[in-house]
Amino acid sequence: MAIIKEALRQLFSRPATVRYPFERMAVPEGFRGRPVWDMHRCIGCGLCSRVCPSGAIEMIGKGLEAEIIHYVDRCMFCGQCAESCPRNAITMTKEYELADYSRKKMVYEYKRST
Amino acid sequence: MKVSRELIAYNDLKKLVIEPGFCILCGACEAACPVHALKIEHDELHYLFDCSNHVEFCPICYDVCPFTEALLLETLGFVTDAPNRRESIGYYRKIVLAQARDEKLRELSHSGGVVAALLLHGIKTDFIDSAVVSESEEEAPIRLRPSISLVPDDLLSAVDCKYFPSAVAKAFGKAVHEYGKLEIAFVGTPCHVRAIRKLEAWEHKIINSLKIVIGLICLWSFSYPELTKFLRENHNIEADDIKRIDLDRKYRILTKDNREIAISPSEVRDHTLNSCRMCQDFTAELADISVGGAHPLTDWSIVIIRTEEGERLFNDAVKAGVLNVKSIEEEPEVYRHFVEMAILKRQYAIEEVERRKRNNEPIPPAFMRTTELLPREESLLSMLKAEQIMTRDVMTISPEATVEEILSIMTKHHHMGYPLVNEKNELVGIVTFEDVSKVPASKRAETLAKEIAHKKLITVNPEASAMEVYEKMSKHKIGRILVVDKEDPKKLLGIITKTDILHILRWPMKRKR
Repeated sequence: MAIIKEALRQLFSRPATVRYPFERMAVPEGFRGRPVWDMHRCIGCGLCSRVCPSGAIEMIGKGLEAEIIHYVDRCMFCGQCAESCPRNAITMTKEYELADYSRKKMVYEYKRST
Repeated sequence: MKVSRELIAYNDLKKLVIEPGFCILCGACEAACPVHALKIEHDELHYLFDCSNHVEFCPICYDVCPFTEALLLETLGFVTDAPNRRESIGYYRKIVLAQARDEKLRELSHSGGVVAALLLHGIKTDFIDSAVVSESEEEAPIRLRPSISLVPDDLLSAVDCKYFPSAVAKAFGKAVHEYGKLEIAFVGTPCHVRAIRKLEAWEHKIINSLKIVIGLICLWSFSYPELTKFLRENHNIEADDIKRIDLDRKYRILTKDNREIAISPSEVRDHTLNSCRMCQDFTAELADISVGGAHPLTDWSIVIIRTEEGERLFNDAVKAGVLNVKSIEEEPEVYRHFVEMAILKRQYAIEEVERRKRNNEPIPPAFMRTTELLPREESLLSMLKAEQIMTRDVMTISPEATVEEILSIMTKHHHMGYPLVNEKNELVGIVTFEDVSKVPASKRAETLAKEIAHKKLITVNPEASAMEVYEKMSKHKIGRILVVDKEDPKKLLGIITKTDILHILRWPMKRKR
């Protein structure tokens, strides 16, 4: 009996389905999307690269001229890089629509502006 | 002096600060280290493992140490928006005398109890959620250890001032990492304050949790083993017998069996920490609020308010009725003693730096610039003329003014020197704080300015370069110089102080927060 009651209730209420990609759910606060590096704040210590569990971060060079390469296809969005950075140079953004057809294209490079 | 930095800062820190014995165990390096390679334990800084295994490049521990030259100019940016600046006091908005309205706090602190009152008020009104302070160890009441106060009751055990090192910056790191506090009040001596400001200038992530910095006025801290050895050998006092130490004009040591021994500062000067001997910061010039004793008053404290944040907390506490306030102009003797101690500390520091330079002994990198300028600073000063940087609106005094009147003007306006100008508007001399100090209190009402003034004046022309002005002041060891008309040396055009020159060198520094 409960099942028929429930079915009738659902008939008249709003559907729970989110019709992605035409509708999107709101991303909650603290959501760990793609990490982004602020190269003005980065000091090139290499901690993010060393601490990444998936090896998704590569640092080219060291110190204040170092550049960062982030392999999004390897990233597991754990946020450990942001946590370890002593200067909060890494922010976990809300971006999650990152799928692509080619792994080669899923690379983000962060260089220094002179 | 140019030191090329190593990739791993600890190597430089060890060579330039730790091995020569300049470390005061504040723990800023421990709090800031991203891999937790440093730890202060048993009165020593321990390097737990080779951090180069974990980082490619890291400048942090060297940069945040209060005794290195890194980021020193940037730390000034936190106080330079204050309208006043004076030699010995630094940048500030207001100087007042204050005391906690609660008598018990005043008793516990043996002074005004202002820091405790401010922190208690801060915690009760949620202005701060915790405070990093220092408290005495139970077994040895004169030794200090840092503590994190979370509720008002915690603060009551940390209410007095002492003269030994305390790893407060380490405790700040602990408050952030282990306690997760987000609005922390930090209380420390001038070097501790400098460490925190360096962390702030470096934009370290732990600084996001700092709310306010309260600096303690500090003459110097003692090395516990050295001072206790001195007391045992020269005055027959064992470390365990000491109940408390107070400082007014002398150190007053009170033992557990209520004996009191007075020792002059010059006697114990050799038993202070190495770095303290070269420190010129008496009033914690980088704090939001600086607090210290107001000798000869025993239950009031001097409060120097420097920043907006400091002003907010202080005014809030006054409005809530937690503090009594009175103007420092009511107590010229307090002001005089205070400035005298600041000048003494600066004098000792400069003497010690020069002595070490002559004997090729090591000096902390932060203090190496005490007596010299960088080339870019020299070129900046060479480009500016005296008439561009002088203050035209000079506060002058009549030669007939009494020393008592001069002292009250000094207490009101906080300048350290005033030119003497007669009724014909002629410059006839200059009188400084040192001249006023030499007159005993009983004779102040009868002695006139013209009796104690310097008649032989050191002056510059308006077209002289700022570099010439600086060199002249350094050569004659004076804090201010008078700018006079080239044709008529008795015509006073303006005044330039050492503080003005130092301010110009720093004016590009903007406030960070």
